[in-house]
Amino acid sequence: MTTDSLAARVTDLAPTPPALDPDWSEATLARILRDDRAAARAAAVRRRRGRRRTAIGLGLALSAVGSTTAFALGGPIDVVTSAIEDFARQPNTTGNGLGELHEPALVAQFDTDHGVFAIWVATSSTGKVCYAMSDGVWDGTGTPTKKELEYGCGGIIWVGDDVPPQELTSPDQLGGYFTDSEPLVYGVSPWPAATQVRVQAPGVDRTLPVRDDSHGYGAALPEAVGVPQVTLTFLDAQGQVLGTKVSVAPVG
Amino acid sequence: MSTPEDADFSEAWRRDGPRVAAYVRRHVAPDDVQDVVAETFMQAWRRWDDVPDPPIGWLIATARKVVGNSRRSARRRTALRDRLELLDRAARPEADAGMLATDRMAALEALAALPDDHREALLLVAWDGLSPDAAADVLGLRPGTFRVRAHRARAALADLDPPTDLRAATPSRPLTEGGLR
Repeated sequence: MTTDSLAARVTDLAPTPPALDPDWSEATLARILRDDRAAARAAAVRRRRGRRRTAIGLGLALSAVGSTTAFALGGPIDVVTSAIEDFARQPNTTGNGLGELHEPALVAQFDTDHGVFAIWVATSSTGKVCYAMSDGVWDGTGTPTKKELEYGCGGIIWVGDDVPPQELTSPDQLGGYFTDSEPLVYGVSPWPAATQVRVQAPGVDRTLPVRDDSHGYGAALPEAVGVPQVTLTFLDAQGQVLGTKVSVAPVG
Repeated sequence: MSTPEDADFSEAWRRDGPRVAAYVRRHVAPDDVQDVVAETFMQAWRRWDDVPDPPIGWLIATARKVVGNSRRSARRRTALRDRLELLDRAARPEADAGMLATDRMAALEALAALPDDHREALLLVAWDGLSPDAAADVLGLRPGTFRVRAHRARAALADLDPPTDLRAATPSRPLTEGGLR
């Protein structure tokens, strides 16, 4: 059959679907059927919300977080550290190759209409950027459990259909302005000298503190309902403008 | 206790699982196939009420996303040699396909050389057995756009096809003990 066209030969090479390994097939089917779908759906909603809220990068890469900051042991930082390190030990995750995890730092923690939003970020000796967050799950008191956190390392940031995806390589790529529920803004200042950030839009004008340790900031913006974007102006301790950027809420 | 939904899903698993696995095999390393298939069906189970009947197009579209989320597979797809290796592993063996090994490899090399989106369009129909409209759904394309893409893929293959008489003059195995070809 050497005279067939390539296209015909391609068709002839259509594989017979391989039989699934019977033991694996039955065990996997049973595992799937045991899955608590309602709980999984709720978790998926939280993850999607979390992904959206962590997945909008603003592209500037100046600051490094966590490598020199000092926190007392115990409390959320220990849990976040443990969660990320456990994650990195799992095979075939984006946490593989983590190296030594630097101490996580709180980026922001604030109340929203559906509970407490909190996010931590940590870098590692191999340049990974890892995060942990809780979006309305942890009540903000005491220490969160690992189950109350979403966490991960690195990953691809999908900014929009017309923008090439970016690799998460810097903490200040995290965050943005989000309106999928109560509007909120958070992130890591690209300017380490910033001590405050002014958030402005029609009907919105407030100044948020920038944390010394993580350079993080964040707040719910209930007054921003219907506002598609906000302008962030980063200021130093003397009130000098270090830079501005516009955060546009993702659609959909 | 088993429900009608359990039974429907179990039937889909046994019927369509191998087809999904066949799709996945040409995109990820053998060690990852089961993980991708399991994740695909887990997602199906969690939204079984919304999964269309028949589910195969939805399942392959979901498997495609699961594969796309795998950074290992993304790396793997970037290398022509790796693409060829995956296709070689996934395709029907030459004996079953009734063709010479060299013809088979020439076809796979041509496939591997196609742009990813062209190859995907071609194989969703030719290998996965989807209708053009179902394949368009998998790729998130309008049917017309899909047909154009599939046509271009076939045209690209035709461009790579040597004339019949040239193939006949280039036997695929040594003609002499000395290796004259």
